[in-house]
Amino acid sequence: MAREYVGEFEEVVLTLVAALQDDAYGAAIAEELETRLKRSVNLSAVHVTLYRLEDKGLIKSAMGGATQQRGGRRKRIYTITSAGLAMLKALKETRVELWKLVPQLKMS
Amino acid sequence: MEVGTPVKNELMKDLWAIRILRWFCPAHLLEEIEGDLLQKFGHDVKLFGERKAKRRLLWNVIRFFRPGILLRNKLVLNFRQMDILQNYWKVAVRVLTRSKVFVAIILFGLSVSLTACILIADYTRFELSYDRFFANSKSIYRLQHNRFVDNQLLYKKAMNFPEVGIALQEYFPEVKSVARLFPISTNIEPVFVATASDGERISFSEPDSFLADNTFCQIFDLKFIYGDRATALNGESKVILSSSTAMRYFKRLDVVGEVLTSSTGMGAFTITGVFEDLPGNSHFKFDMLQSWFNVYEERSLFTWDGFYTYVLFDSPEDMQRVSARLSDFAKSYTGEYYKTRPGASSQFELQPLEGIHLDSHLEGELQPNGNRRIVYGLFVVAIFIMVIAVINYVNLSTSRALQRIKEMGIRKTIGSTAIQLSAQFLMESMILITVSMGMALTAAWLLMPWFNTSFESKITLQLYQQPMFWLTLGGVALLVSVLGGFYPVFVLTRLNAREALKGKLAKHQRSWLQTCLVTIQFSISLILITGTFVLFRQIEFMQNKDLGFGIARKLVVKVLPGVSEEMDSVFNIRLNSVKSEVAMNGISLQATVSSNIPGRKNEWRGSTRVTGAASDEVVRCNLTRVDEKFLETFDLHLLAGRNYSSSLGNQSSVIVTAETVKQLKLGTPEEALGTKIELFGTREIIGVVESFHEAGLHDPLFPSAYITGAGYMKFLTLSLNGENLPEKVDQIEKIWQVHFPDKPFQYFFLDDFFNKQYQSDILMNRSVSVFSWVAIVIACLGLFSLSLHTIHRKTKEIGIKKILGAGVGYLTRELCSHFMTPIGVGAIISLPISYYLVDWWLTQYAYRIDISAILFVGPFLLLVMIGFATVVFQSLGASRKNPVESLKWE
Repeated sequence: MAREYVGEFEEVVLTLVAALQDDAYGAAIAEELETRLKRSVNLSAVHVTLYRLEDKGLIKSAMGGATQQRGGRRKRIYTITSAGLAMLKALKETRVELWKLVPQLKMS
Repeated sequence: MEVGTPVKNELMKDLWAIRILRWFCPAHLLEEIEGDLLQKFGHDVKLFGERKAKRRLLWNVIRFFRPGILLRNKLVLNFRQMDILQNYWKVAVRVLTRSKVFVAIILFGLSVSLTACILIADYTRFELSYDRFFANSKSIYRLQHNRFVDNQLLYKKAMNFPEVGIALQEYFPEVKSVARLFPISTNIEPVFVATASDGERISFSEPDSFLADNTFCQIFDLKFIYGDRATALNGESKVILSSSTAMRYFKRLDVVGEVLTSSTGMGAFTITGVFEDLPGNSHFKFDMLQSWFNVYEERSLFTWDGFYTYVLFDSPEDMQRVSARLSDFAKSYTGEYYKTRPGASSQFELQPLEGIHLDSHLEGELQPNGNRRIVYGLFVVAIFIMVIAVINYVNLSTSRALQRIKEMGIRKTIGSTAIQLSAQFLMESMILITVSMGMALTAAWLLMPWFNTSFESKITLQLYQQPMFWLTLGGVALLVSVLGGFYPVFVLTRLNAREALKGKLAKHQRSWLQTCLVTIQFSISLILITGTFVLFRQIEFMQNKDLGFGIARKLVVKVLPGVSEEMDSVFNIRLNSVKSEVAMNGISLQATVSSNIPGRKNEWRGSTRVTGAASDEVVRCNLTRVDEKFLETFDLHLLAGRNYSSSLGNQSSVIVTAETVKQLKLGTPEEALGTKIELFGTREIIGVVESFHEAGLHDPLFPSAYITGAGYMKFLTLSLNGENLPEKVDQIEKIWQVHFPDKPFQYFFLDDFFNKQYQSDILMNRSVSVFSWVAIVIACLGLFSLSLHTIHRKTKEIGIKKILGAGVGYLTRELCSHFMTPIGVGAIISLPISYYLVDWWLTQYAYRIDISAILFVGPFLLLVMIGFATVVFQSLGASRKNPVESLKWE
């Protein structure tokens, strides 16, 4: 599997898709970003990122159910693919390895 | 992560921000994005309130307008679009070939109206382009003369004093150049003779020849074929010819150095240049320009305004400055002369060259000028026609589309989007319009010669070479396609697929729109018919009105006297022998020689007043030199007094018209007899003739006076009797040639000549009537196809009514009345508009028909009849049908 480069924002979104599971769709992800990471993002940015990740084969999508809250529109629910999961793991491992190289400072 | 209670659904409907999103968002992503946006919106409503939430929604939508979204659009759609387009094309062609009547009516209507529009547009362009071909056209002005007497405006004239231009140039340093033009035929119509190399002599009279300053060719850049433009008119006895004139005399163009000899006593002229004929869109038309010599004398410097004066400026600012100070100049130039004439003065004005053709209607114009009203009027007619045709098109395609409701239903069920359905209609629209445009462009090109001869215009369809024209045409095509496709798209795409399959639709809304459009069509048609009818009646009125003098069977021969030839007794004897010989042979009953003839615009006007009256009580009056046969020849009616007994020895008598008596306030014709008036000396009124419409019915009666004596006898009028006029003309020519071998025999019949002044009215009538027929035909086609469709739709209804006992008469009446409503309402709408237009148009005639009900009722009845004929046969056919047939009909 050719390693694709994944940007920081993409990584965050990818992680959220994995975390939110059945509830991973555009608006929910944007809300999570805002409440948990205190990052104000525009809806369109999230959508574009999701489409890009889908193009890269890291996530896949299917149309979900409609709710009154959305004016009767259906959601597109994203799920992480195995390639996506592998990518996340690899990213995390590299990060941990890099972290190990940093001299451990005591935080008292 | 759904928070709180759902926002009310109504709030989410009809958010226009969402509609914007639909414009650019790819279809396969639309639903979820919309959903997400709405969810966020619902959230915002609770947090910030509705207004702010809407603002935020709009902002969020706008943020979606980014490459990451937009590009997804193309990548996905492009691939399929070709296939879809092909399918549209196929279906469109099938639909169009299936309904041939519909297509024929649409194509006919659109192409005919477009043809009319193209022709009129080119005509308008031509009329507006007058004199713009001169390089300096924007900086050339003509000096106009306004003469005041008794501090009141006496007249405005296109011609000016002989040396005012020279003085103007001295007074204002801003004036770059000045040139004068003097029509030689004011004095004598010149005749020239050229001797060809083989000794043959060719002679022509040259009514369109002028004297011109040598600066003339610098101001107006005539296109010289031979000779030098800068110096051609320097020196004495030089002449330049137009190429067609050169061909006439010499049958070749390189004639520089050849000589033309005047047979009217002006000497010989060396040709120094040949220029290309002036194009048709020029306010002057000359065949020949002679180098300047002073035809005037010192004493006429401030009395003879018979010279066209053109002024060239460097910049518009210069012109403005000069224009502002023209009254100062007038005072300084003419002050000395008017010092002894209180109340009298002259004012000058600068007329832009480019506006002369359409805006200048002064005395002494070079040619009858155009009329901005007519040009714009025709343009409005063109737009009317276009509107009618487009309405037709919209109506027809709407009714057609409504029949295809099931097709739409099926397409929707299969999965067509609204955009795809609209594209189908637009495609059909586009095909129809492109074809009809092609037909119109060809037709306009083919009809151009016919247009030029019927309307005496000189258009060349130069429009086709202008990018603006093609852009406009493209714009019109797009607009019409959208209009034609708009209603079907609007209604059908909103339709629920289930309803569409059932063939249901909102009927009321539809017929309301169509009826409105048809009503507009008919009111426009009615305005046009009324206009045609009124113009026709007015022209008929003018041609049949008793003019007060006889114009039938009057042969006028141009005498073409040379300089001071009339003083020559030989000339007079010859002329008299022509007269008597013609009379002896029984060709003519009466013959007279005069300086002017009734029906010709009199260039010779003078001022007169009662002897002893104050100098400010002058009356301006037409002057004509006549002989003792004048009254008899023109069948003028003597009200009081006597005619001249001979043409000699009348230096102190004058005959005037009743109008002159009235304006001089002399009471009845009998009372006026014996009154002495000042007119070239003191003269006694010996006779009063009834006023007659000397100058046609456009103008009110003008005072006239008739004196005898030698000078400017330009016309020999023969009153012919009996039949076989061509043979008589031949006989007269023979007699003429015997006595005047040097003079060409040039003649015309007075009635033809007189009726020519109505030419512009006749042309206007002809064009308006042609174009209103076009409009009516198109409107009727619309009515026809509309009734076809309505009856089609009502087939079952008719069948049921018949079963219930309705008769053919009743059904026909009912169907017809359905179509009569738009005609009736149209008539009511058009009535005030046409009344206003008719009133406005008729004010320009001094003698006009009365506005009566018949002028409006006649056209209305005509229209009702045409409309009725259009629908009655179909209605009749439909109501005659066997109900068994119509009930089976699906």
